[in-house]
Amino acid sequence: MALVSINGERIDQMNSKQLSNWRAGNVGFIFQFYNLLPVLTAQKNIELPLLLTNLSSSERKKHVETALNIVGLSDRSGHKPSELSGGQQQRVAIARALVSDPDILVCDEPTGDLDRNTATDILNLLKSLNEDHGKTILMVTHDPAAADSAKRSLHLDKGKLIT
Amino acid sequence: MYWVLVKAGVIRKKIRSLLTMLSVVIAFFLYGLLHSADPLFSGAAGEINAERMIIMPKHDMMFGRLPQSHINYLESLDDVTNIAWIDMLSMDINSMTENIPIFAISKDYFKVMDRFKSSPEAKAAFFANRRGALAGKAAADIKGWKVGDLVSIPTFSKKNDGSNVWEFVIEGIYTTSPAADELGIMVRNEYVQEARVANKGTISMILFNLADPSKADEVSNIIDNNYKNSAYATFTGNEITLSQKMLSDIGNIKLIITAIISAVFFTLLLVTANTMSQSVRERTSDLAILKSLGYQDRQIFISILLESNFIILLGALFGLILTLITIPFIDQASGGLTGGIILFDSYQVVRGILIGVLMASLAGILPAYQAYKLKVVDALAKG
Repeated sequence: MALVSINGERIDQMNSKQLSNWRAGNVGFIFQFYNLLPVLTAQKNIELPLLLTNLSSSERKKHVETALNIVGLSDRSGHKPSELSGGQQQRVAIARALVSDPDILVCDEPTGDLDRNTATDILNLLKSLNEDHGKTILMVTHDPAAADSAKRSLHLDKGKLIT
Repeated sequence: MYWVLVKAGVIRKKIRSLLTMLSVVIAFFLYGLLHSADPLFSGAAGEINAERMIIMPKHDMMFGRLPQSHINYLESLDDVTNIAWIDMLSMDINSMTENIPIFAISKDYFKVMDRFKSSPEAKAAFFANRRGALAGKAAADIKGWKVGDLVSIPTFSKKNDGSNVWEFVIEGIYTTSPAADELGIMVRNEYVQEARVANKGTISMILFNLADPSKADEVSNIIDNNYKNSAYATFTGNEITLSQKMLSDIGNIKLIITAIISAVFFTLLLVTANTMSQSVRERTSDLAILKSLGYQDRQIFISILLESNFIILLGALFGLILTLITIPFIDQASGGLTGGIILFDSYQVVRGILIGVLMASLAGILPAYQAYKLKVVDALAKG
């Protein structure tokens, strides 16, 4: 029987509500297609996870500014996703993932929709989050360059673990 | 938190949200206008009340006649106090502002119909002059009549001299509520009876008060049963009953209006529910992202319901405000005649808002449930 335990917490035994709360506090998600809400500005998109906390508006703003600084997009906070390049949108998505300071970042093909140069920038950013900010990054990718940047790689083929 | 989600949902497709809201505005504007005329359909506008009794011809309330001898019978009844009668000398319901109706009243008319007000001096002058008249304020305003004016009014009734133009001297002005009842001119019944060629000895209706208003039904039955087999059968009731009877002769207007409003709201419900459902389908991926960020199913459910409420309640509010703005214009256009009849009070507003909440909840509940049940993994896979 499968057992999923993270930091001693059995998440496989949690119900939907407990999982939601756990995700909000412990995991940040980064997707291949960024998945930002198109009608919200970068700042509002990044603020979304913080709306679930008890932080005041000014505290939320401070957190968002910090996240934007980390991803290097302080000057784009008022822009909507359609006004940003693919790389910038992914940076906003990364800022959203880390704004609530989770321990784990789950990345689903984070460079899959980006050109090589931008992909390298994003991988460097993820590396910095891992090394400088102590985030655990769990990444799924088809990109060998992205896989090479990982400290540990596991290969899946048709749903089976190869190595 | 919810405001950000609601706002994001509403502005995602601005034109669609705006058009949906506009249809809600129109529906509630229609609701407001039709319901503001409720007193008209319930027969209880202005100071019309259940304590003034009226006897009318049973089979033709508008133009039928009653013999004056009915008054003698009425005087023999114990509970009857004040008695008055009235004759509509001229009544063209298609052009009442053009051809002001003439009401030939008896001496005690103001005792029975105490909602009609005129100064004691005006009443004294009126009853002292055979051809005297009291003009309704609305009629005087429309026609520009002043006290002392000699007015000539063409009618359907011929006088002894062969003319059908009647002349009266305005001795005063009367007021009442609803203002529509000020659209008339009161003249002396004695003079009309003497001067007319046809219909002598007959009147349009008899009015009376009761010593004990709780006996209204009992006395009404006695009178109507007495004339049941007569050529001049009667229909007796209080002012409200009579108003309702006259309206029901035209048709069940209130039912028709309720049916129209119900159809409008039902259609609106389907349109809004469809819009919300489509909106949620289009946002499957957004909702999945929110859930992956830690938003609970319940919070997503509430945000969709609030979005539905926002669109419908804002539309309802604009619709109701539009009604409130429009009613004074309707009153103005009618020359003030709808004052006291077309009313849109706080009860109607609160009822409108409650209907809005109910509609929004019904329109939003299925889409909200769809969003509630959404599985993050499946939704992201559909992307």
